[in-house]
Amino acid sequence: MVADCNYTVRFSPLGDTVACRDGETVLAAIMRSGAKVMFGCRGGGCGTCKMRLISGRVDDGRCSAAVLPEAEKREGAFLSCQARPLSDLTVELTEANRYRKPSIPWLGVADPP
Amino acid sequence: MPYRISRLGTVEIRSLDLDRDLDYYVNVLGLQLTAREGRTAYLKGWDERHAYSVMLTGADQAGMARMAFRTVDPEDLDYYENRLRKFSVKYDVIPEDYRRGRALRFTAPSGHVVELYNEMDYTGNLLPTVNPAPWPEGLKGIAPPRLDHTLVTAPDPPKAIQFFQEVLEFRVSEMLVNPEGVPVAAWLWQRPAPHDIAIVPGRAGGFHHAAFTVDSAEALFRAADILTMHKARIDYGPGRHGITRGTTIYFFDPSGNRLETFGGYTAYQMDPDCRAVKWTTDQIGPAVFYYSQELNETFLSVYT
Repeated sequence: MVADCNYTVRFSPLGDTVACRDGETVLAAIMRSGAKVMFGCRGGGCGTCKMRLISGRVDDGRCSAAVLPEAEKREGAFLSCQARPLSDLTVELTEANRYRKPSIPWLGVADPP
Repeated sequence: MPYRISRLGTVEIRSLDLDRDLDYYVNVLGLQLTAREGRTAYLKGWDERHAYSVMLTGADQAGMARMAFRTVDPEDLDYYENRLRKFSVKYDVIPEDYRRGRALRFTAPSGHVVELYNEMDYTGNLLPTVNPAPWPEGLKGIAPPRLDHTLVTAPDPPKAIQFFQEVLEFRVSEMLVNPEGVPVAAWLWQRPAPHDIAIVPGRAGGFHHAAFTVDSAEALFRAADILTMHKARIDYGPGRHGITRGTTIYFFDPSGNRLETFGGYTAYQMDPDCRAVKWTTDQIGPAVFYYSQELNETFLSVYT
């Protein structure tokens, strides 16, 4: 399904990448890849899935101002359950994101080579 | 001690997108929309007899704006006004609100805006008051009969628990105690059910969930089916709590507020002299999620 893969999301410092389909949130792309990250309400309300952009642009979607204030947005913070890429992204993962690589690789949809 | 609070009467929940979330509350959760005034929609379960139990208000953040308890009698409101004075709790008198009479509004030590009221328009449930059927036809979604309880977070749970016990005269049905014997969480009641409100550790003013009753195991599984058909985010369940013995599904509304379908049919009744049941923090797994016997990653960390 390479044709559907609009943007590549690269994680720093791991270097793992996931392909984000048109209209897909960053979180949905990660889950579809078979990798796992910490997330909460998946509605933009709790802030648990917050990540930080190193490069690229996202459409933030609808997020609670209490958990994603403007000042944090300016520093690159976004909620992965709401954000849709507008370009290829490099995203910083921290311990709070609890990223885990796909544990059953054949279940994930492979990234394009 | 007579009980003077008949129930958790209303909760006001904030919505990041009122049109979107109202569609969810009406068609997936299946509450009855009773009115919409400006940025607030008023809803209730089909078996609730007063004008509304849920206010859904458009806002730039999620969470709970306020909770309100309905007193049994009008005199009980005066009784609590005296108690608020006696304990030097600052409060405002709210002369009226939408289809509701006088209320006392104050901020609990947990950081939550709490109101007490008695008068609200009695508009009836969806059944006739003469020779009614057991349930109305034509309901949509999960269609819970009523709002049951709320669970909120507090930075200093013992202080918040003490406030609800001493000032508002709630009683503790169950509590979670740490190895020093300090209650870090409590389930509090006035009507003869395991809880009207519960308190767990967390941020001041935090909203963990509002729960709606479902009245059978069949209804619980049907609720899970409906949530999944609509791709709702389910946090846990169907399952059972050790605390209260209630069956449960935790799920999130589209703005990320946690809701629960609570199987009140499995929870027990309170006698006036019921003594508190204790759970120890080393058993928090089965206390909260009886079957998985361990907390999930989100129960204590994710709330609005």
